[in-house]
Amino acid sequence: MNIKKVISFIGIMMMIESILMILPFIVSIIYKESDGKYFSYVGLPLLVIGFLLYKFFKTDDDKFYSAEGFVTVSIGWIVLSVCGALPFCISKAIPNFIDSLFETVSGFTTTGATILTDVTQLSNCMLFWRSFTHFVGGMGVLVLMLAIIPTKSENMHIMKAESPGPKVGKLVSKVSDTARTLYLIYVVLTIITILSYKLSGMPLFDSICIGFGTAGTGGFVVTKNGCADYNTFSQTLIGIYMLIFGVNFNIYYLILIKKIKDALCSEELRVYLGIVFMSIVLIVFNIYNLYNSIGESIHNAFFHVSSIITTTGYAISDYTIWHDFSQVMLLLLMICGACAGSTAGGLKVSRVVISVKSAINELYMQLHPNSVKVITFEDKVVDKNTKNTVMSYVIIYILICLLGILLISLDDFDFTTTVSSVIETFNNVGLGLSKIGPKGNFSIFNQFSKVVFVILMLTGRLEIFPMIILFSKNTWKRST
Amino acid sequence: MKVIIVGCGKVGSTIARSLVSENHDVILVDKSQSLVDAVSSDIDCMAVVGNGAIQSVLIEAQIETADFLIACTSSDEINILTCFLARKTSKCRTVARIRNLEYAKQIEYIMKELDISLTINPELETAREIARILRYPKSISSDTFFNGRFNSLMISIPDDSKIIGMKLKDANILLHSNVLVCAIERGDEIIIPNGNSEIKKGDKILFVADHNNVVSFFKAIGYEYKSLKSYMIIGASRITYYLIDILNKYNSNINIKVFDKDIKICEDLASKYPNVSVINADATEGNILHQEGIDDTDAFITLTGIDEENIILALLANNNGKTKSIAKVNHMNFVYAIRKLDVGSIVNPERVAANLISSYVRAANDSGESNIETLYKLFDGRVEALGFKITSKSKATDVKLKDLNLKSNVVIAGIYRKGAVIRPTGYDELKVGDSVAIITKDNVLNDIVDIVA
Repeated sequence: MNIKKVISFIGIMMMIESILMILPFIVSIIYKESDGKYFSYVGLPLLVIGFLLYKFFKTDDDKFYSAEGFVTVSIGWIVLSVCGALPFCISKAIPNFIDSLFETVSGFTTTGATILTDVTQLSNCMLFWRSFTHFVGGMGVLVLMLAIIPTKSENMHIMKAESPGPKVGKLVSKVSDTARTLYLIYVVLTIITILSYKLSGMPLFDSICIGFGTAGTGGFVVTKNGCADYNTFSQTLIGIYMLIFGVNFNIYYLILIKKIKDALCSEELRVYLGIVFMSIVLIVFNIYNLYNSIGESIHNAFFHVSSIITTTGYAISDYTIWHDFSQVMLLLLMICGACAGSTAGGLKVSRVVISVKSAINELYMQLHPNSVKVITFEDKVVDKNTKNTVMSYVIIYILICLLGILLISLDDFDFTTTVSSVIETFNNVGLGLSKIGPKGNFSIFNQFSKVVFVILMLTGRLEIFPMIILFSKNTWKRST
Repeated sequence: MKVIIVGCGKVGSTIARSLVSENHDVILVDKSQSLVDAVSSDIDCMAVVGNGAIQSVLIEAQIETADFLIACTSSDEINILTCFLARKTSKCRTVARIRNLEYAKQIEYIMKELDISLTINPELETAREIARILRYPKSISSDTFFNGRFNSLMISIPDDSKIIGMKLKDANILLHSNVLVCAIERGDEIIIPNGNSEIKKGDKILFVADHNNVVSFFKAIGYEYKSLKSYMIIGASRITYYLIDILNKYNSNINIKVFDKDIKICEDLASKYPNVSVINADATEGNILHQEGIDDTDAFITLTGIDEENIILALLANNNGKTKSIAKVNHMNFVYAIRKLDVGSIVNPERVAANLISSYVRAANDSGESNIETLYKLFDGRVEALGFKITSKSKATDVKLKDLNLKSNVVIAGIYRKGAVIRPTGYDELKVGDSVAIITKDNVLNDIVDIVA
């Protein structure tokens, strides 16, 4: 384990985080808020410590393999979350450290679950930082690091560990160029989102914060009733933009280089849109009698399906009044998630497709034991390795879910609350059913459960393996 | 530069690694998914799985925007077909690896008709490198500039040499020689020396000089120079055929003995080269090597397909201290591992091919002030020796060298002007039409102006 190099990367990451803290500081100046000083209290020491770590641990030792990449990413995210929680904690905006950590992890992992009962009590700069963490966490802070600093071959292993999806699709030959292109697309899309929100009649501050939440598929709101406070047109826009950020960014790159035909042929995109469409139709059939008009039920169904499948977690009404069928549909959409290579969480459509296809294959093999069949995805044969990785991912995913449910059940809530709380944090959604639906929040849980949720959120965002690898004995055996 | 490499076997991946380290965009194409996965998880490049000789695969690899396509699969025919298709689909320059001896005669016709810019034959280039080393048997590696008129040689200093302890500025006067020491390897460190640097015991040095000065320098530091008469070659590979051709051309009055296990190959070799004695035996068995005179041979070259055998046999031959041994080693990892062993010289065909491609890709950087004529990588690629042909005026030309603000770790080793090699001093200038030899560490030079800071 090349621990020196890992620490020097963490140092660079801390410096980047401290630089990012300048933005909420500027917000505090604009709104003349005294809370802004806490960002300098945290940001400056962070910059110094980060620089010192980078300086003293810089090494010429180039050994950097997948183990180092995984460890960098998992330690990086833990450090990022702890440091990001400090402004909330020391400003007494959220006095309890565990609560601030929960809130920050929920932000960086783009979950959007909150322990706050009334967000309007926070100052604007705190609200801004809270939403900004969604934007940073959406594409990943280490990918940002790769985009701005020149690194060598080691960066591939970091990219692999941080990017969501079963396989990292490089857009261009070099990792740093790929990271740069991804961030460019991301930033441009976010700016378009914010502008259109503003034009649709949202206040500027709200459109920026909701824009960050949409881009990172997070889900933090800045008003008491969340998205219910905005007009129908704005809500429709939010619904559409959430869907857009749930699409694999490679597709936008293909559009950018004018390969629109290739982009539209993507199997994952088609399945993703197909699932969205089917879910909306089924839910509308199920709930049309609950609303005054069919238009209203379509609007509600569309918004919530889009919000849940992209694991964003905005709500415009209380869907816990829906019939059970529709609520279970939402729960399934949480697990499914959006496309690989997007900012969304969940299992990802590509993994779902590959595992369903191989399950069907297995059935066929039972009938015709000697037959030879291959699975194809995006017109390419899925090799055994990828298939096995996907299958074991799904199994570990289920095991962690079950373990989470067991731990949270200690808190003694009803079954729906317990199960949906685990599924929503693990998939980085931010909204659950029953007590943690659009009207509820996570302040009802005890500290132990909150720590479990923090671990679940980080594990879910980093797609399980980095976190497990960090705590596995084998990773550290190969030392010196 | 955007470079597509079709075929990522040992040659392909070595080329990819060396191009990526020079900051080019590389896209690999190979039929084998597992090979592509393994290589692309190690090298920062994009990878496409598929047969490179199919147009749709090339388009997926973005052939339209590529500057180069390098076809280096193991099959000459696929390489030619790939280059042909690439040329038809885009404007990129194409390089094909062609190694079949029988194609060699028609190669120029093929290149012209199919518009292939360059063909590389790693085996032939390796044979040439071996021949260069054999010209100066005491050298570890030997490269030439200016069409063979100027040499850069790497040698280890003998333990009892007069030069030990001398400062470089005094060495030429004290030894009555005229050479320029450009780099010193001491332990794991590489030093670009100046006049005050001292030579120490155990050093390996890289120096440049023309032929006569090389010979006198060898004598001065305690090596005798003699031309080789008897050669023993283990393994009749393609390199062996090329090497015999080259050796015969230099000097017909020599004695070559080739060992191979395969009787058919032996018969073929014997029919093609009547003056070569061919021995059908396994060189590792019994004392056949001693029986055939390993102790008296001047040069011992191992070219079998097995690296381990090549290394061990070379060590065996090197035991007596009189024989010059050269081992072909394909695995780069082995090359690093045996650096401390007394194997003699090591040649690595993949490295040779990669250097050739690197220099070709760099030379195509059409900034226009100069062309790269030659490029060699020394000391595991940490030091480069380049030959530039200056084609137009720039900030590096027409300035006295002492006034030129050179980058650190750049040495101007020699200037070739109007048929004569000039050993540069501070009062010389670079002029249009000159060829220049440059030795550099930690720099990537694409053009002669890159030497200026």
